[in-house]
Amino acid sequence: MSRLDEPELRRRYREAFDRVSPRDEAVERAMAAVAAAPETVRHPLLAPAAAVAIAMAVVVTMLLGGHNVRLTPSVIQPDGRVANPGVPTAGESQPPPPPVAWDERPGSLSRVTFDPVEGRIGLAGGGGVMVRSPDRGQSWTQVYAGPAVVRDLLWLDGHAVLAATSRGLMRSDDAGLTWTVIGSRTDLLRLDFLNLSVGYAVAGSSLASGQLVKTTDGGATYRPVDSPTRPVHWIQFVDERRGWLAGPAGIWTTGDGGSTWERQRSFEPGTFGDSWLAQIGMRDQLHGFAYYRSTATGMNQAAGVLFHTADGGKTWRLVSATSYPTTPLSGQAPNHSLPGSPTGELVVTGPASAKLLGWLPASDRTYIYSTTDGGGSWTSSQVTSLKGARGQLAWLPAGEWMAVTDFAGNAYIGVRGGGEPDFKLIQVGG
Amino acid sequence: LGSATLALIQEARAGDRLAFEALVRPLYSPAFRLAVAILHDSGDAEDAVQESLLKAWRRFSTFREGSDLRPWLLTIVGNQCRSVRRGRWWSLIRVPDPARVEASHEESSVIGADLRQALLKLGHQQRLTLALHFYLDLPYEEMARVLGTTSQAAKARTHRAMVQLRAIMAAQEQPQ
Repeated sequence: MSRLDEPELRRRYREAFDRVSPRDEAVERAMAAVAAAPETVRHPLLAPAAAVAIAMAVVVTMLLGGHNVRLTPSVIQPDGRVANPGVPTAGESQPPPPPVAWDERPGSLSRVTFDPVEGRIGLAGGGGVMVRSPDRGQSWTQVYAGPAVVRDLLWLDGHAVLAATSRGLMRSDDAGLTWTVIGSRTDLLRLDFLNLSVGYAVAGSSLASGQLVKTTDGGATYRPVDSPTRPVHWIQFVDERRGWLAGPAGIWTTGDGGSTWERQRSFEPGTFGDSWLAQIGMRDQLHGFAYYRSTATGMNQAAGVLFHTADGGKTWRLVSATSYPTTPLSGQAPNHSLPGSPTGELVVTGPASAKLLGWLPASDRTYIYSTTDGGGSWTSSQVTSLKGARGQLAWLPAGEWMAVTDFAGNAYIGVRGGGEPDFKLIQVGG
Repeated sequence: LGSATLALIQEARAGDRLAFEALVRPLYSPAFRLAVAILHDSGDAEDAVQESLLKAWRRFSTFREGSDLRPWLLTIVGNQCRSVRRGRWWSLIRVPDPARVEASHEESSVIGADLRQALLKLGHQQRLTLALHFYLDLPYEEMARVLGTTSQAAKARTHRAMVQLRAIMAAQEQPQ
């Protein structure tokens, strides 16, 4: 045995760890996180005053509004004043909402999907956790726990499934039981594949700054590609040639696998601002939806605008929009209203059918909204066992599921079979 | 502390994020090295340092002017690493970090493996102590500030941690 005196231990210590050095992008990411952190009390003497101000605000709000009133997040300004991002003060411009990363909190669930072949195996993921169901969502077991935030899940067939995570692109070939990191991109946000090798993704620090990237090796590497607009929020292919992409500037389609793009609908600059996200949900080559939703936080700020097409996007019909804050398409009034406070992505269930998860702030209730006429009329069913929550719905003819995290940070899988009145909630994690 | 640093500290305490960034950017590397030495995973270390910097920013009003920033920040990093290891997901399934996988080749994974294995058997305080001493070369006085103790106690802790590390490594080298 070698002599382990102090210099020898020091040498071995350095040998063991010196090869690992911080990555430039990690340094910049950390600095950016500090730059984006919500404003806090900067002076210790102001803290008590701010605490008193918050306490008074809580008491006054409860007295005025009863128990169902939800306070929107408050920001303590440097001078100790409390600003509520949801309620602009007269004469002031509304401060930008603090960055909300509820779906990246440890243990939160924000994505759920079922295998496209049998609809039997479910996967749900979010902040550092992935759970799997072998039995149509009746039971769930944890298959991943760690630092990776799961941002998207995509089945390639009945066994192969990909997960875009903050630690790289992960792939499972046994329907989600075991996972291997196959790609080092940590900024993939939305995945789509034309076949097992070729795929596109939206990459970036957030969808609001999404960039189109392409892989030809099954996701091991991605490279940026020219896109007709920037940012790109969403891309979807219905076969190896036909696809659509959408962003705040409009909607485009391709018929050659993404080599060329044709504009189908444009929006004036500023129509959909920074808080809006675009989503394409095509059912087939002809039928589908384009859904724009505001991610701004605060009461009466969640908003949506819905378009429907029955001719592959040659015409995108403005169908419905929430009544507040205002319809962002000046001069174009939709014929119908979209349900209040939609909180998640649109789930397309048929050529003219879709579902939305929603939350009514006044009553703090969670609803599932459904349309079967292209978005013109909506029915709602309340998830009675769940207060306000955000997350994602998944739907198959056999049933529907939701992966949600409530405002207290508890994560649930909701399961509802055909015809059942309400979701059965299964708490996972925590 | 130099007058420029003192000015930056005052500006950062007043809420100037650029001043804060100027102060902590040079400390990213030692913070990362400390986190890697405790967590043994570069990705987890990056996350821990990022979270530590956010905590440092939020708490910067409590930083005493005239104090040395490095031990203050390293204390936060050490505590954050302890929280990570105590976290509910830590001991469950782990997925290799792609950046680390790319960076590590056969040789580097063999070199130091015995030491890393031995370190895993030490407690958090001992690992922190050895990282500060061997890896960051902090003087006992500064180590004491990070560990929240006296210089004498930091020296004694270092000695005890080394004794225990030697014993573990010796046991590892014994033929089975």
